[in-house]
Amino acid sequence: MALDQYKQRAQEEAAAAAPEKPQEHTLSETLADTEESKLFGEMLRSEGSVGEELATKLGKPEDVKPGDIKDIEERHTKFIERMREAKDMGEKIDKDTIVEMAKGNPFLSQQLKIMKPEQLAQIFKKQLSSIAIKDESRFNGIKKAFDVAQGYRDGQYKKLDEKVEKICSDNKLDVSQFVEIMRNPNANERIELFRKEIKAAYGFKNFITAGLYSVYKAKALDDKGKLKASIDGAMKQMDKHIQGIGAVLGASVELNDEVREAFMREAIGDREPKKSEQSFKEMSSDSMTPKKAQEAWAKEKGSGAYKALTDDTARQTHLDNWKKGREYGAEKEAAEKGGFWAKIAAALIKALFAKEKFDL
Amino acid sequence: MEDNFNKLYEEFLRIAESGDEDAAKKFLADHVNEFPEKTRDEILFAFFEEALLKKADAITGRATMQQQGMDAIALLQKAKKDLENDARIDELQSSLGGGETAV
Repeated sequence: MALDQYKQRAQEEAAAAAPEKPQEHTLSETLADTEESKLFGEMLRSEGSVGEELATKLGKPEDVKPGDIKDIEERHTKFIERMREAKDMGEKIDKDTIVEMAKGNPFLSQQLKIMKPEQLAQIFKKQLSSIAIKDESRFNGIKKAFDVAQGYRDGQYKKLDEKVEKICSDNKLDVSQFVEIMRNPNANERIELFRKEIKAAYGFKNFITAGLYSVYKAKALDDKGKLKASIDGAMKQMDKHIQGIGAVLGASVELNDEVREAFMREAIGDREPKKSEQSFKEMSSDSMTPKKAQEAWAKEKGSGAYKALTDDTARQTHLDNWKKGREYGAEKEAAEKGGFWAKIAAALIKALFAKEKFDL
Repeated sequence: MEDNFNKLYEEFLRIAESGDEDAAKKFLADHVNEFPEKTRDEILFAFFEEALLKKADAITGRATMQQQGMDAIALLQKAKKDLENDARIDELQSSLGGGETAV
């Protein structure tokens, strides 16, 4: 007896002293955890009919056959992996990340007036888990972008900036036109002027072509054996082209965050707005309305499967499954289309089906 | 709050159908907290994701641009140096009494 007590105490002490390992749930623990089992069910359903069937069976343990266990466990391993990735990334989303992201983003800045950054961070962490298990490709895109932003914050791009600064200083490159623009007190005008200047200056290929062409001219002979252009002239041209490139390079390290953002967008071309514009058009031209939702349900009620149901409990289950199917459909469509507005549309359509009252 | 959903949703669709993307975004920004919590969180995250993707795009784009710019300068400087050498050779040949040379 005393020995048993001693052993138990020794085990407890050893467990308390051991470094804390990340706790990852076994399948039975996942199923016992309300939040996690819900997410696991969503992951299974996002797979399509096979996953849907497994998820349904998990709700009725008596239907689970020995062969299903292996399938469920394989999926559970994947589920745990994705949850871990979401957790790892979520842990890096802190107050500073939110404040940083809100810079130059009117929507997030506005939310920060009514919500604490910690609150937003908490919401985003939860969303990440859901996205990680339902839309792997979207999650991977977010993770990749987050790593880039994190790397920037940690100074990973500093070396490149230093290299640029050195080249500008070695070549005495002039960024005065950009500095002049910076003196303009009006932010919108400043960005607009800046964009114009960048458009005129950015285009390294043009500078290279023009520069090399002046070399070619300086080396080429005309039909009388005379040089077509003077070497001095070509050298001056080359300096001008180097200055042109250098002005853009110099500006990329000289300017403040606000103009630097505009600079980067202008220099590289802003791809996201175009995609956003496209997904906005798609959403606004073919939106799900409460009326359309009711029409879709009326059609479903006309189906043979629904008509064959004999009691309201079965009809209610049919309606619940139909609504779930609509919600997954909206998510799937958003994943396929991509773009900001497709995600917004999916969120709203899901809410619409969840809120709308449908008659049995 | 949630009973308000249909009203909010229809108002949002009306703005979206007008084709004004900025106004649609502003509507969401002004009313996001009136949506059911789950929807609110998804909308907030979509905005966060958009900001994050833009930022990462700008960071990598800027780095690429800087690298391209430095490569371009290096290329032109090399061409300039070659030209300077050619000019020196040409000058030397002229001073040695050689004929005009296309370098």
